[in-house]
Amino acid sequence: MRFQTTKYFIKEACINFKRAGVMSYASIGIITVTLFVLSLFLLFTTNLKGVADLVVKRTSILVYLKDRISQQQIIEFEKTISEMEQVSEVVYISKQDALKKFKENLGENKDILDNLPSNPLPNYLEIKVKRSNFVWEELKKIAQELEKSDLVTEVDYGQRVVNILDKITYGLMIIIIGITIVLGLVTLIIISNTIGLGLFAREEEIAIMKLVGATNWFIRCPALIEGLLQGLISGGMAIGLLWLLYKFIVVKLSTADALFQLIPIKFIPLEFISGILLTSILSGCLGSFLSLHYFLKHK
Amino acid sequence: MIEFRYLSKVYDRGIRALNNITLKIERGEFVFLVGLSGAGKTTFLRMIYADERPTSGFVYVAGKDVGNIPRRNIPYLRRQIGIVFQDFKLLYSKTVFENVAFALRVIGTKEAEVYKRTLKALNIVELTQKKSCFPYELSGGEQQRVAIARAIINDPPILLSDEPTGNLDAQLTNGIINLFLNANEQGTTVIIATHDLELARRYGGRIIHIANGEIL
Repeated sequence: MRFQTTKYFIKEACINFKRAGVMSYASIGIITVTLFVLSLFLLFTTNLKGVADLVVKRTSILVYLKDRISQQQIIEFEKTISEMEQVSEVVYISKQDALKKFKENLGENKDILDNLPSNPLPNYLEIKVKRSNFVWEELKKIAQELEKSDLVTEVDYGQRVVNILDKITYGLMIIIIGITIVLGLVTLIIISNTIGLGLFAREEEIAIMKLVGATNWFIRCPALIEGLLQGLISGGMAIGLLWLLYKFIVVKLSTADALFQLIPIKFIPLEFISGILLTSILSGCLGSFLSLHYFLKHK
Repeated sequence: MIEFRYLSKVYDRGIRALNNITLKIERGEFVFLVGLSGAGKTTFLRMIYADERPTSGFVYVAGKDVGNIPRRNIPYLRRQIGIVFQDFKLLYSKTVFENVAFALRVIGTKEAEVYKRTLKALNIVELTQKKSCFPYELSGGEQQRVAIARAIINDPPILLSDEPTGNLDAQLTNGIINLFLNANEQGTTVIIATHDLELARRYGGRIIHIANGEIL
């Protein structure tokens, strides 16, 4: 396509955009709100794992060891673990210490343990993990590594909670995909409607274009650009609004309780930003394409 | 150049606009299509630029079967035909210059070329002074000339005009017909639909009489 023609298309798209006036702004407003709702969900998901860490409050793994292993093996195993990147501290707790600790926890009821024929508790290692944004993912990774060892009977890193979190994240992802589809459709219908109204207002003009030999693509292009513009502006504004909200939350939290300061609030990653823009642009183009399709076929 | 063969057109509700028409118009002819209002003149012209499809029979333009032309090829047919509509069909949101240039832009002409040729066409219809006016600021005769400038700007081999002198006085009519005669001298095939038999007689050329959708 010639540069000249492209320039003409863009100019026409801008003229039509302006001519649609309030309709253009109204549709941009509605789509912006729609996409903003979507981006809110994305922001929530982005930060869910960080919040989850706070809820779990677990930064340690308990590794239960088999009974018949030598002190030397334990020391070596401890050393291997402490050399792992994410590990900050490894503490060995013998079964005697474990029983003592257990008794302390029982307090007044500690007598019930007196009649035990032998100590049922295993030796174990308590591993402290460095704090990071996704602690429980790190925990899971290290735990799975340790489970492979011959010396280990069981690894406890709060699997149950982690599994639940996994399910919540997975469920949320499905909900978000569903919402994206629905909101994408809403965007599509709104843009298709706005551009469709513009087309009907320019019915005469389009008829004349066809009579002087304009191809359908020549008529389509400015409208497609118009749809693209509407989508792009709405997507950009939704992300802008989200950014403002994000900044607001961060400022608010930094002056709030110490508890909340622990939550590492992050903005949505680049993939989500591109996703929102792509959804808005594609729905914009598709919306105008659909209304044009109807228009060019029936008029 | 243009050939109708046993062509009939029946609109919805059985209105028969054209009935079994067979005729030939040669390249470079100057033709008046004369008939009363409702005789079928406009339908006749619309058949040529594929705005209507025949109910039966054929219409050929430059050897091509226009009656069965695929939709996607219609724009390319229309670029070969300059049309001056009865109601001018000007774009009222665009200036005179833009209206005339439109026919060139639609086919992707370079901007420098658009400028040069538009000015030339406006010069032919003597509207250079009004190139920045909007159609509603012009008189009927002037609007007519803008429509003609747009129709001739591509130097099309065929020029169609529907009642070009409808409401114009004798002097303006003369000016308009002369524009068509000039185009015809350059080799353009011209068909002018009119209800005014006197007008047709005055300028000579071939006269085709049409009444109730039939050629007399």
